[in-house]
Amino acid sequence: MPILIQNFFRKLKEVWFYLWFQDKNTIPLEVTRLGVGFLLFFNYVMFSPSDLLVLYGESGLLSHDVVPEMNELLTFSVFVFFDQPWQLLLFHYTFVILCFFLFIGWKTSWIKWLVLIGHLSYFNRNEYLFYGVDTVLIALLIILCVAPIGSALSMDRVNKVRKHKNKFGLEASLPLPTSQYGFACQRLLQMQMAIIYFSSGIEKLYTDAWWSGDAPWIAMVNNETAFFPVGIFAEFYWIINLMAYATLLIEIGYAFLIWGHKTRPFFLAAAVFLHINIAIMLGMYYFAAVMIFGHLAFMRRHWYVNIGSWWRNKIGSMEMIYDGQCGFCKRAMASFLAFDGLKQISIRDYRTNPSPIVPSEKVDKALYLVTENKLALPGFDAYRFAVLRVPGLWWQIPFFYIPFFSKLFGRPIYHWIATNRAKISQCVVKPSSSEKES
Amino acid sequence: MRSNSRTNTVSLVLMSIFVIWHFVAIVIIGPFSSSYLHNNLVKIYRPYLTLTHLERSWSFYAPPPMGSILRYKTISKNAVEKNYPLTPTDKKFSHSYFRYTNFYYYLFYNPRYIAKRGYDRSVTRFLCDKHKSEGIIEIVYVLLKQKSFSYKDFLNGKKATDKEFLAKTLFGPYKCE
Repeated sequence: MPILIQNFFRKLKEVWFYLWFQDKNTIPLEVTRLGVGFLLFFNYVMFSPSDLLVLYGESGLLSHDVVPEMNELLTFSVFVFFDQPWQLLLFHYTFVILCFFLFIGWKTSWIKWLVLIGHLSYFNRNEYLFYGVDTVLIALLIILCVAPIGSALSMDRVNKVRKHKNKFGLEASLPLPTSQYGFACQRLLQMQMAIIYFSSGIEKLYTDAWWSGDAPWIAMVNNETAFFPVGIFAEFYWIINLMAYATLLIEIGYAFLIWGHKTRPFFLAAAVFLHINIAIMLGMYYFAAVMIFGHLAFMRRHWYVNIGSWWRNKIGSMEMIYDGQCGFCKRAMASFLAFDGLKQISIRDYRTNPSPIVPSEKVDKALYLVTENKLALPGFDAYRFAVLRVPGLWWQIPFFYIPFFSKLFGRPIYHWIATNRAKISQCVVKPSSSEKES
Repeated sequence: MRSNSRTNTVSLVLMSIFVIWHFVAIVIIGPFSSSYLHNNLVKIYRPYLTLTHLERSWSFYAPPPMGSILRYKTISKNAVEKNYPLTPTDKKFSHSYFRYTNFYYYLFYNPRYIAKRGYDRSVTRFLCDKHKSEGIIEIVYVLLKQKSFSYKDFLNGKKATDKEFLAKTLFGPYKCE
């Protein structure tokens, strides 16, 4: 009997761990973090100062005295401290910056909590300004706060990889960390999205407009969301009926079939498609984007791996040839490679391993990038080529691709740095422990 | 080594407790707000739900909301009446548009509750200040709610915002202090 009970509990533990605590990387969580961070940033940066003062200011729509619960512990809002417009504006733009930090994943382990407190503070200051999308964001943000986010697709990761390469050499790689807690949080995100859809679908079944198939029409002629020309739908009204029933099918079916091995791709695609339609037809692009990033918690890790492999194959290999005797160059290279999460760029130190394609005298003057087609690009153009092809470097595209100006200023700046790299090395770079030993 | 393993076990147990706790909040208490389970569990969960705003029924577009046009009317000492939009209509597709409509709609949605909270007086104070130079003495809020507008109406050349498809509700008058 005790053995039976022991076996039962062992099995129960196995099932529990399989369900909640698999040791996996946090990529799906990080994708949701990127989306939530960006959308919070977008949401708050879009408020004009005048809107802000009307909606949240002491002399705006709701004065502090009519929202006394702001002072209570569970519904606390930091807005209780802001009597003057400048205080509100200062807080607001600081908060916008924090949202941006969450998006790029900088100091994520504590920034995420500040963002949650800030977002709840706006909510508690004037909750009647908020609608469904904001509560979805809170639900996602709470789970992300508990999750060990920031270990991938983030500046935290870039800094870690950069330090690792500086310490152990440019060839050294740092595997993505895995986390059982991360998996549990991903599961909670998935549950949250499934229950939102299930509940939303069931509620629709209580409504005549959804049974009769008229609901999409009502939404599209609502003067607040009227966005899309409805003439074609009035002519072919059956399309409206189909849209209504497809929505019900997707929302109710999603809650169950999103978990299936074979059905997940279809229901995930259907949910994303549904929200793209909401964005296009009702103009609710913000709501649509939040929901899509929530649904991405259902993306399987190997799908991301496959997308990464497809991209690598499409772009082809790139080799960067650098000066291994220049400390500054090595550090610059470590910073650059830290953004190359897909490991698209291979490196060659021409001092120890001369390139058969680019003569060493040329590499003396500038770093070179050799493409798969044996095309050799020097200095600024090498970076420019890589920036467009390495997803982690896409944020630099605006700097490298401003018509005329990028080349006008980029080439001379690069040339100056390359020419003076020995001096910069002496001035700026302290030798690392490995360099000291050698 | 043993200490590490013990820390790991303790943190896994704590995380399991959180997972169960949060799972119950989002799957049972949040959406099923009238169930027996909800009514009994909510006593324990109340502080958590208040803090996190997770008590939601997630009823997006059920039923699909009818459109509305929100306005206010100012009345001056000389009995001159002027109409203004409550929402910045010129910014219909601006990001804050839904914030304004959401807020003002609540004035009409549950007037008794709004009055109890003093929101109506606060909004009136704000609008009276805005029109201080015009010498207004009263404000009336106007809601033009869209009625049913079928595809047949559309094919007959009518518009959803035509007078016959709008129901008018007034809220006020409120005196400027």
